[in-house]
Amino acid sequence: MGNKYRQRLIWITILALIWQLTALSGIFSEMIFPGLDQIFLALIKSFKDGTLIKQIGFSLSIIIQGLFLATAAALILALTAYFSKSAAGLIDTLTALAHPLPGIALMPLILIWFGSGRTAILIVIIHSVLWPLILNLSTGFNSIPDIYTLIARNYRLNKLEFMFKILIPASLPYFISGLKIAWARSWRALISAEMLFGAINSLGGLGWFIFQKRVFFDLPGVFAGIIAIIVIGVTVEDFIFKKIEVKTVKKWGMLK
Amino acid sequence: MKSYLELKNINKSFETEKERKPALKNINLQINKNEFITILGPSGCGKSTLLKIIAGFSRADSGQLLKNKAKIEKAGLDRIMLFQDFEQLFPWQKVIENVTFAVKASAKNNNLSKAQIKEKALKYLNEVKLENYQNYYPHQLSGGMKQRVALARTLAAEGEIMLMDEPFGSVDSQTRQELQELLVQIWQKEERTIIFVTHDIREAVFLSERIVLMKNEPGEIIEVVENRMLYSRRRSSKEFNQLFEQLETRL
Repeated sequence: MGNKYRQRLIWITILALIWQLTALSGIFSEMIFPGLDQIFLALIKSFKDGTLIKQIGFSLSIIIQGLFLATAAALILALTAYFSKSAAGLIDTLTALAHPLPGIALMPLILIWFGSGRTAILIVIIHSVLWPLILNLSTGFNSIPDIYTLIARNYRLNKLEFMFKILIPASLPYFISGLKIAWARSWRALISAEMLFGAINSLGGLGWFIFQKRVFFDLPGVFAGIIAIIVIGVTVEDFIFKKIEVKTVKKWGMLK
Repeated sequence: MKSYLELKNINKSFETEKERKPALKNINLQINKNEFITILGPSGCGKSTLLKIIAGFSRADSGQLLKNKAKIEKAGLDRIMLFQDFEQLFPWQKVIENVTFAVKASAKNNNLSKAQIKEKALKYLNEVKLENYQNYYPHQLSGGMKQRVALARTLAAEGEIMLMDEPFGSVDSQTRQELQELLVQIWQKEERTIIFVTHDIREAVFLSERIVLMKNEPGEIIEVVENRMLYSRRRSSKEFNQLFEQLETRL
């Protein structure tokens, strides 16, 4: 584990050095290939004047809301599909149709139906998260050992008890890996939706932040936004999800 | 006392691609309260199918299952199954939680306090000698220990009848003998009826008061043998080996 992060640090340092040397060599104009010093100055400046923090806050609040709503909906739909054959047919069909559809293809339609506000971005996020989560949850539910359903019958659990005491915990590895996919997809969807839908009262999220910087040809600012996106993405994947796994499925020996 | 659990004319067949294959034919058996009975037979003789029918997991094509003269059709807490598979424990629950699961399930209607539930679970963990492992997770235990936890859970449901489907079939022979001894001790202490399925003759001779011999194709009862040997039984005794040989020739 420690080794992995050490390796990563070494490679980041090497890549940063190459970047900086290229910038200093003057092969490209400073305007289109800024040095790391300028990028970091821009990062610090945007942090100091509060604009970056405000946009990060906006982006994170939408994505958390979207993930929460989509997870709740996915749980309800996947559970319904597990218990009812005819519902399973419908949910399966919907998932098969909607899952391969990139969120960005829906954006023009969403723009017409819902305008360009927060709701529109939320819908794009939910679309990008809901289907892969349903798929993962359903696979998880259907792959619990048969012995568990026998035990549930033997101990006379009702449906609700079976759901919370057995079905959901037993499929937690699938649930968590579904959430990981959901996070990655919603983060991408969010940034593109923000760029397309623009800002309301100068609040438009990280995607909007980058887009705006480009308009003013502020490339260090563009890179500052990109770095913020990378840092948040990596933090959530490597720390938050890792932590959840270590505290649950790894501790229980359900994941090697 | 007599005819506590009654199996009357039970038949069961399975559909294969070509034909209906009879699995159980005309099974008649009477089981007494608090007795330890084993069902002994080669693989494929339908002994596990029979146990599943008693458990209510599977239905007979014809025939009746009666307990105290009342028909039984569904699975229930009065007949708890102990499986062979180590997977029967819930990996996300600690040892103690796996056992309280059964206590809670069986005490659904009479409100027990948290402390009472835990106390009961600990009592049964104590019986299988695993009270020191209550905060372990199943994956941290050996196969034999897992089966002991599963046994504690089965006991903790406090059903009158315990059904055991080759529960010690996946552990090494040393551990198997220890588990057999433990099971006999527990059975002598608790008032339970045990129906134990096995293909291991020595296991049947060591454990039970009566041995139901079954044969293959179709699954039928050949004979019910009384085993009056006193507990605790010694595997090296002359009586033990005589009965073993007698059964071996019959099978």
